[in-house]
Amino acid sequence: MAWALAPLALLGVCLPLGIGVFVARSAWPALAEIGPLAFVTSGAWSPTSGRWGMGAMVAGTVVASAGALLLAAPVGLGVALHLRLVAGRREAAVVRGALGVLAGLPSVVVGLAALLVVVPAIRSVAPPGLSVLAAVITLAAMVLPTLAIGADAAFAQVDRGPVAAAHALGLAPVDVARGVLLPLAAPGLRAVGVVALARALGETMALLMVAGNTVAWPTSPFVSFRTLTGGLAMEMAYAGSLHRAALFVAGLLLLGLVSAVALGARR
Amino acid sequence: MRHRLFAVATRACAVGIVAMLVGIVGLLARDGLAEVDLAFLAEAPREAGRAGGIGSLVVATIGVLAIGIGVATPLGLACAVWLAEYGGGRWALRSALDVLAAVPSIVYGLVGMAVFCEGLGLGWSLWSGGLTVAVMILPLLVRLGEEGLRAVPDSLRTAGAALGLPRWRLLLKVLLPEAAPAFAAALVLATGRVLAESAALLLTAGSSLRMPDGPGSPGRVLALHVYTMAVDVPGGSARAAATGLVLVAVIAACSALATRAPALLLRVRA
Repeated sequence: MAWALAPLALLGVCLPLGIGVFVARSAWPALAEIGPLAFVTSGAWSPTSGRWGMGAMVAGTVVASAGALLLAAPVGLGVALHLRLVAGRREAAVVRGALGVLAGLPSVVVGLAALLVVVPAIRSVAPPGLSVLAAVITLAAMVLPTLAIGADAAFAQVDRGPVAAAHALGLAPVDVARGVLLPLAAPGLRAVGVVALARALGETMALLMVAGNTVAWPTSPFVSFRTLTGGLAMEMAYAGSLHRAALFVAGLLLLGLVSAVALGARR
Repeated sequence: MRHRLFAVATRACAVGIVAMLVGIVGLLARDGLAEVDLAFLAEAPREAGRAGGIGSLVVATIGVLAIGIGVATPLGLACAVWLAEYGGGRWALRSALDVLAAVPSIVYGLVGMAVFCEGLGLGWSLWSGGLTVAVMILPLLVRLGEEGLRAVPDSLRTAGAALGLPRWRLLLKVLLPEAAPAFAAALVLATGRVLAESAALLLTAGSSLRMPDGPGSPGRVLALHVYTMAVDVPGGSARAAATGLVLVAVIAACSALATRAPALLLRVRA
């Protein structure tokens, strides 16, 4: 049996390596011809006129993801604490059920809801509505279930003893949370944050729906902008050879960012 | 006071979650429910999707799903068995799967497009899309499958060894059937993941509204249809909501099934 399984397991190991090598190889013509520095220094992104600056898109990806995480993390933590310390059995079951369904929602559905509600609301304050703020809110809604479910699981893994002792001492839930649960679950919580961050960095379609997709630096919450992933999805279908290789550079960047985040979280 | 504040604040977060779900589904229902009927599910789309139904998209979605699950299941099962029962190079396989799990779906799309569509000459097709999502759901299948196998008590393994059962027979006759409910749950979850996917399939399965002739022809999946109708087709937002509603109903059913599947399977076997 082992002889039959080993090649398949080996294939499993090779797949991510294969993906990395493949994306790197496809990006190579651009790195060789345009030079890696040009992606940083040439300011604007305008492949048709030979300008390859990815700074604005990278900034868009980072700002949207960081903003979403900052917005969603306290709420996700609040939900998980509520499930552990405050909610009754039935209430917890309802909330966990809702989280399960939310986590499985297609990103396009969240994007559609944001397009119908969030974007018009922002437009009425500061046009055009398709904006950094809309993207941050959409992305926050998408990572919120991941964060809440993950935090709930991290709390579940905390040693029962100290928590039970804290309850037995008559500590109020808020003190159990601050003094016992949060410190003990900290490593797990950090890992959850990283998973959510990786998800946010890679999200494509929902952001495509609400970001407006003009290549611009995210200088204010109300400007429209484009993420790395959005650029890939929009341009890949029609890109010529060098442009295409440049898009693979963007893919490589994304892959590097996310793998670093994922492997960094393992310790 | 502080304690009241804590309870109120965390409850607000929890209520917010439920409200968000109700809000999103309510929005889809408000805009789309009137459009959904049997004809909508069965008919081919007309006028870029503004009229007609989603019949050909349902077929494309099922095709991609069948190929994806069909390819990923044996591979995932093998990796899970390797990790739980044999395990040379466990660290390497686990790291590999952790990275695979974090790879953004659009990057899967890029690679799928270059490898399956162009490298293997499959073009934009259900094959390319299915193979791409197969790689994408692999980490999920392996992780849950491995957990399922690990949950099988060691006493069964030692009993098998004591009886002189060859390892492969122990695996096929005892361990895999014991872990079957976990695999079933993993498959249902993976189904939900595939149904929700749009970015990777935009680049690999294409965006054609025509009824696929077979696995070699392109097709637009339902999730991508939601995007296209909402963004690219003026006046398509009701259709986007209707398609989204159908999709969410199926995915919610999957997630409910995934939590029930182990219990149901156990009952069937008992």
